[in-house]
Amino acid sequence: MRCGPFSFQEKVVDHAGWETLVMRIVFAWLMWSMLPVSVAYSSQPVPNGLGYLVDLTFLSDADSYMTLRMGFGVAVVLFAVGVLPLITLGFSSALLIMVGALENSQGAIGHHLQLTCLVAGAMWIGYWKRGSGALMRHWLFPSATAQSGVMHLAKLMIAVSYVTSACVKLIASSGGWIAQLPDISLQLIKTHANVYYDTLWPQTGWMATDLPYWLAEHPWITRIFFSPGLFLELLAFAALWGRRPAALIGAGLLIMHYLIGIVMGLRFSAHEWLLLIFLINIPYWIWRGCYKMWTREPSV
Amino acid sequence: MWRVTMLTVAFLLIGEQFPFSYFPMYSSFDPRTEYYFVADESGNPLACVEVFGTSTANVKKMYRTRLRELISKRGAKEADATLIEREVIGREMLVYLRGLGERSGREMPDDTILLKRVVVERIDSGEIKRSESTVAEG
Repeated sequence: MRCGPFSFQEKVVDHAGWETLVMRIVFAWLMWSMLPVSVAYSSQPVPNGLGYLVDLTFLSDADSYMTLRMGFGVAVVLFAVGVLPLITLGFSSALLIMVGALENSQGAIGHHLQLTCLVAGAMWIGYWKRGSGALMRHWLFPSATAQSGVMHLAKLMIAVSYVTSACVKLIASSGGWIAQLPDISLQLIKTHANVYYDTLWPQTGWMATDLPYWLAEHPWITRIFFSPGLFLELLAFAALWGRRPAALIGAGLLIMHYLIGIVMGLRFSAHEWLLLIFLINIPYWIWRGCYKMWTREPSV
Repeated sequence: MWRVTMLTVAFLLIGEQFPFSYFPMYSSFDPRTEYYFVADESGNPLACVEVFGTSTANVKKMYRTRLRELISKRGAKEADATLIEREVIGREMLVYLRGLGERSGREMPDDTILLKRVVVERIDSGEIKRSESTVAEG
């Protein structure tokens, strides 16, 4: 459970049982909070992903959905305490993926659910791989070692998503992402306008009214301010090198999301929570700080 | 590292197929963008999320997806869409939004509603210009 020496290699962190319990509890809560109370989509005008394979419009039937949602609630509670994750996480991941696929089959691709679903799916594969051929006891309550391996897959999925996002920026802009950054000013105007027309809450702050024009007039400051985000995403794989790199990369990405939230009014809450749960892992650092204070352990 | 590389390549190849994504948000920037909103017949904006249960960002994406689908039949690009094609898809969107709002238990406006488009451009001097138009009513 120690930090261990720093190395530039992928390393499965040996998490304590209580750590993985906290991670599962918060992740279960996150999944629950991402599942909508009701589904209003009665058609799939532009099928996407799973929507190509399955007609998911049965989810818009209020009674069936309520039953599925109750089952989801029970499943995430059992998953949080570590019972039969292959079934409990399997069911909750499947329902969340189906709801997300139906939402994304309306002709508008949103990005608030994908990472949570990918992390849940990767964790499920982790439980399946580690459970195959094992005793029934391991299927019911996977060991702490198995849980650590599964948490590593969650981190892998988060890191890969950010690296992919960085690669797309380089590909879509033909390598000119940083050069194009001054035009982000238009995106700021657009996102603040979207917030206004969604809610009719006046967007009167400096960020909404003056900043876009200031950024357009100061292209180099814009480039210097926004480009670190690209490098941070590109280096997100370093989060797999151990506890400290994970916490540092996680904190960097969290700050990036926070600044995007302030400047653009765009929140990626699920992404932020996933960084907090799996990469930053605050409970461990609190425990470690307390442990060091009580035992006066020499610093590593 | 090989797993990161393989998965990254896989995500890039699979693209936007839920639950997979290559997370293309703000992957490139143009000196021209646009946004859409819904207004009452006098042109006063309606709070899209509260009235219809979906965001204006989604309205734009849905509108553009449907528009691209329509004009791809004649082998054209989105920028070449005619005003009539835009109007046809705009009306379709307004019908969709009313249906979505009704299904989620919301009370829909009785009067005509408008789909508005705003184009925002950054010109070389750094100045930003806006122009607003009505796409469709329904």
